[in-house]
Amino acid sequence: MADQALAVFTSNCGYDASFMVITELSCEKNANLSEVAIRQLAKLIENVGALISQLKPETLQRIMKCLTFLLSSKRQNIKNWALQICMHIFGQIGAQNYLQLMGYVLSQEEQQFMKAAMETRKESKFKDVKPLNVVLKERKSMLGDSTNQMNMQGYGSMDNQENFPNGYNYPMQ
Amino acid sequence: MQEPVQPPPFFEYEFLPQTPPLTPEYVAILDSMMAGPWTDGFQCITALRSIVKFNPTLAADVVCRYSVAILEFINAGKTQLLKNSLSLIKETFLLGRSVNVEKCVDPFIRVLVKKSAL
Repeated sequence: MADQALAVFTSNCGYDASFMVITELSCEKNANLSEVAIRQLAKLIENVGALISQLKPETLQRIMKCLTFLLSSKRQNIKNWALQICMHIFGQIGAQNYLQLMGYVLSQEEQQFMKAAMETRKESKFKDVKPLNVVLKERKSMLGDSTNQMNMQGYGSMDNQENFPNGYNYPMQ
Repeated sequence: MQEPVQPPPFFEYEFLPQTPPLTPEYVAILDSMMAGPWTDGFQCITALRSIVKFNPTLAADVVCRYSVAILEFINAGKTQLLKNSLSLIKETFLLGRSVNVEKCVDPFIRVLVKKSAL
């Protein structure tokens, strides 16, 4: 029942007071309490969307300070939640506005810390994905003689643009 | 031998009864009921839910007025009372998009988060 009430709260009550109370609870020492609160904070921010910039400056400051604090938490799941929220806000308001917001509400040290945490997140998220042209080059070098076999089957070489089956010259990057 | 106290009926949101107009006399009755036994408190919470449903513009003020008593009911350990009180809070927050219920956030959210974390 309390969960239902919280769900209704997060979807209907995107007030400054809501953010103030929830951010305060997110920074509590009690880990369970903090985790429940940070989830509510994530839902509130998701529901508010791009309108987050219309919150009062004090509220935005509290949110950013709270997120910086949570990013340094010992618990990995709390850190992950905080990072996801940062990335979400970043996506909602754009890089320029996010940097401006950070500059407005955080100290130099806090800004550096948050930037570093977000960069780590970006790198770890995409570290396994290589650009397509790199993958294609690697495959080509690995194939070696087998490309000749492909030629014999009528598919043509990757270097020869005129040999595509439909006759169209695809621009190669 | 003492007869067990019959719990008053719980009304779902759709079936909440219409309330009389919110006159000073009616508020005095609600005040006295809040201070009475838990069954009276339960009926008082039902009356508040009706006010929230039928007079949404008064919701924030009325619920805030009784916030201390509602918090006591939530911690009283009576399941029926807890259910009715949480329904009242939920229905108040449900109005959040059309009416400003910001006043009610501070007193109740801490309790809800604590209950949810248990």
